[in-house]
Amino acid sequence: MLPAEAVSQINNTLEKYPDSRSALLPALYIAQRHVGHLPLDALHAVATLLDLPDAHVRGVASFHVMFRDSPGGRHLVQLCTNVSCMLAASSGLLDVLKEHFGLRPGATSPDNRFTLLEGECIGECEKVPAMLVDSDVHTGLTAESIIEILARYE
Amino acid sequence: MNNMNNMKNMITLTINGKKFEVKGPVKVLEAALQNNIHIPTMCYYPKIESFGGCRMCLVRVEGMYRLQASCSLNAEDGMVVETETPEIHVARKAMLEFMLINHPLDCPTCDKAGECDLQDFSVLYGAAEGRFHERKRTEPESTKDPLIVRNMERCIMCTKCTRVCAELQGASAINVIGRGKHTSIEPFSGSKFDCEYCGACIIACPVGSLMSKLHRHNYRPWDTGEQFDSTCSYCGVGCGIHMQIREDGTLQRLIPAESEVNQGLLCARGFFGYEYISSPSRLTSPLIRKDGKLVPVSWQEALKYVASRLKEIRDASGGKSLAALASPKCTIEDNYLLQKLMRAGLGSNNIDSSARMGLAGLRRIVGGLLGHARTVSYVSEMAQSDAVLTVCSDPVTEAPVLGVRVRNAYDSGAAVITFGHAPGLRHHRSVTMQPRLKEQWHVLGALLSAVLEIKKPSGSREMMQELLGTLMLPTPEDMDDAMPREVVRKVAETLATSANVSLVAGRELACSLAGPWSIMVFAALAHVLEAKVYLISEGPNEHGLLDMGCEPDMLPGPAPMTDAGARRMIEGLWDARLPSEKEKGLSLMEIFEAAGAGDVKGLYVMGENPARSLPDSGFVTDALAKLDLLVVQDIFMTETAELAHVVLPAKTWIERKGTYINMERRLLGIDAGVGAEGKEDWSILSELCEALGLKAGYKRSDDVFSEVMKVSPYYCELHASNIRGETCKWPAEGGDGHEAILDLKALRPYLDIPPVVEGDGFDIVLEKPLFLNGTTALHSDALLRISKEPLARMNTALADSYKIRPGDTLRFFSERGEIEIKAHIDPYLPDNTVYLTDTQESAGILKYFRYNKMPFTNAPCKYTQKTGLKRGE
Ligand code: SF4
Ligand code: SF4
Ligand code: SF4
Ligand code: FES
Ligand code: FES
Repeated sequence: MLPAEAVSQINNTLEKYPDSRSALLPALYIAQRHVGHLPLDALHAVATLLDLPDAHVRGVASFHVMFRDSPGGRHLVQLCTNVSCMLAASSGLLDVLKEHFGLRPGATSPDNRFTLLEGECIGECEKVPAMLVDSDVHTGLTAESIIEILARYE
Repeated sequence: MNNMNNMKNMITLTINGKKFEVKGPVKVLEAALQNNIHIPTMCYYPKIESFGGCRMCLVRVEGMYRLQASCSLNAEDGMVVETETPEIHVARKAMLEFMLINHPLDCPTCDKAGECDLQDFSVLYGAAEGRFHERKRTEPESTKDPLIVRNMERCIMCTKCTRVCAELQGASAINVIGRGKHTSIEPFSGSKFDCEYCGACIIACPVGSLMSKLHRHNYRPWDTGEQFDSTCSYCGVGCGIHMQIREDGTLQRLIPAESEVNQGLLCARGFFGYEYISSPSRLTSPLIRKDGKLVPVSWQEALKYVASRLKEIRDASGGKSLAALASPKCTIEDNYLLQKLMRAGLGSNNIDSSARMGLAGLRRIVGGLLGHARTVSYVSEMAQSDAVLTVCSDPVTEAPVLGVRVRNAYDSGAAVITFGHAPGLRHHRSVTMQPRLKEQWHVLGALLSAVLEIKKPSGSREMMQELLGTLMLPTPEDMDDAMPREVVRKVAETLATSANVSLVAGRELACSLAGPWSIMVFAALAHVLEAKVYLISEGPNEHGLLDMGCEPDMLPGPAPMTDAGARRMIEGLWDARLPSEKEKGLSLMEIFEAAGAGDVKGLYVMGENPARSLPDSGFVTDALAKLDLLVVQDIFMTETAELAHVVLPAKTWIERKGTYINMERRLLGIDAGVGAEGKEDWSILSELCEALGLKAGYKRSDDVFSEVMKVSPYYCELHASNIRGETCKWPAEGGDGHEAILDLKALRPYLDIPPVVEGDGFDIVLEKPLFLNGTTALHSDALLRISKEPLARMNTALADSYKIRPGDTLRFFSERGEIEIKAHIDPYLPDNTVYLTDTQESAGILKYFRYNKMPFTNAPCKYTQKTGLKRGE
């Protein structure tokens, strides 16, 4: 079951869309924000609220990297590793994250603060390397700035 | 006009150098197929949207750059297509090479080998050597589902399974999960399917990725011996089924047939529900009660005993003291002979069946008012409706393939209105109207009022005009508290302005506590809306048994008991006397009432289990126990058979020949696929007829059918030798159908708006289970394994008021007793209503209901005066 707050946010979101199918991604975002990840019962709750088949909802959630099916850290870090960012040495940043925060791609830091994913292009290719922390965009990253930025997230 | 349209739609194209004319719009692949040119496919599936994913169907189209996927390309006039050239073969071979990169090539242990498309095409195009050196996919086969084995190593991601599940079956139970090379096909839970188990995905899968567990590792396609076409006997849809028999004569499996009725679909009962035929608890020998125990005896002894006991009772107390229950599971031939035995052999009109609870009254009133031809609507045509109104019926459980066609209609844009509870259409409805039970029929009346405000009835059916002039109706305003008038008017408008409306009703309408008035309202709605009418019969042969005179006041034909011409003709043909037309026979519940009172002393039950399937079953069981003679002819030791003096083992629909009339009034045949002990019902009855001095002498069930054709002016147009053909639809030559045996005078007392019946507590709605709908299902292991535990479902408000939490064990009680059942809370259910799983013959929930006999139809309408819930200790 979803917390009441999430249910009312999803219901509000639903009103902005022509049909419930198109409201699925925002609804999943809301659910994940409240639960932390998307276990089967959260997916089922979203499906029920949107009156969509359960398997359809799971199919969509499983396709997108930003939805997690197991618990993660308090913040989701998605460091872009697509071509432009890769050329700008984003892989070096992966080492920084590993050293400084004990973060490995696909894993959660020991203090449960961050989960790191190798993300796909976020459309910030002119200011690479780029990353998403939760839904905040950070660009032009360096070894120093990435540490400084992440320090702001508790 | 039509002709011109047809001309416009005609397309001429050249395929492999030959010119063909096809009707458009059509895909190139289909145009070729229609002309017997086969193009290999992996992801194409008829009747659903093209996907264009596998690229096996590549062809060369003159003037087009690149090879084209013929499954997704519309045929156009003047197109020149080549389907088999070296260039195409190279391309197809390359596609196969891709598919085989991760494929395990474990054909020796794969159940699909021998009928696997990937295997066949590899042989055809020779993709034996791959140039890729990627690792094979390793993922253990999932056997966590009770019926479907899922092997993702073999999957080629054609997504046919998910598309048939969503687009054809409308279940959307499986989906593509994950992305990239980690993609797999999974049900929501990732393990158990928990779906509708229609089997469509298994049939669609081109490789061995989705397979039935029922013949796991003991199935080789090349072992198939004979194959038979038959008809599923689980419900009134009458789906065509293909029986595959092994060389050793046992049943290998059942698969859907492309019959006009189901066009390749089945439901779980038809697809997975056949194990009961080899159940160890099948009856094999006749039994007679001796010293209180049922002991095996020879057929000769059993039949001699039955005949002499029947004679004794008839001679001592008259034909009136004997009664019989006919069965919609049995064929036309069986029911005809049972009725002949009762009337001519024993002089009794006391014959009825479970059709009393539904179709008998519905077809008499609706067919009688509208003309019977109007109640003949084809299951497949449902999908073309513009608007569908289901009236207190969930077709998805009562007539599953019809329910799927309602979903298909919705997907193609029809407005689907569910009046009353229809959980199977939850994702396929535009509007739902769920008034409280006590007022639901009044709301239906208000809906008719609202329709009449917009649309005037056309046509000249006198009886309907008279009815519409005299039938009293509430207005939407009168019913405002039960259902907001805006909703009623909106729905009325949708219905009245749609061109092609379909109405669906079943047993709930037939057993309405508001009496015949509600059935007349339904008929009037159909008349005004010029709607197609779908009357659901829950048994496979309800129309057939009614046509055979298995009703207290009807003769085979059907003809009324009072029809002098029919009586003379039948008496002449049988060379025997019918009971006097003044002899009013007893209907279903009256038989048990009379047995309880000692007036009926002998009862012959064929293929029914009244001790569990009738309301107030405690009362029914007591009545059965009082009988001097109870003969039960069945395939299992049912609760009724336990009480019998004689038990006669019969054969199932898989083991015998015969005919059914389905809910469309189409003549369908069943065939003997496998052998069995026991006798066919008609042949038991034929011997008894002879023992009672009637001329019988039938050698095969066909002989009985020939006699039926002589007795029935309607059946003489249906030819048993032509089963499944055009001539086997009823009435064969269009027309109005036989004119009403209905006298509107008899309905006159019920034209007033019925009073609202008040009761204490909340409403009880029984939810019918999709999987377990009778004795045979209960002996089918597969259906038992997927059946859900009985639940009491309610919304949060009701649960809170009783302090009930999900999963609590509850005690549900009525004035007839208490039952333990688990609570389930669904916030989207309507207020003040508890939905109980009607497990019918398993938990016997009907025991907790009483019944009223509906005036005119005598249908037992179940009700309770007091209902309550307690938390279990
Ligand atoms: S059996 Fe039917 S309902 Fe179940 S997943 Fe397959 S297609 Fe869907
Ligand atoms: S399971 Fe079968 S039908 Fe489904 S995608 Fe895989 S190969 Fe195709
Ligand atoms: S819909 Fe009815 S006839 Fe068809 S498979 Fe299911 S039970 Fe059998
Ligand atoms: S490639 Fe990294 S932001 Fe576009
Ligand atoms: S069958 Fe045409 S692309 Fe698969």
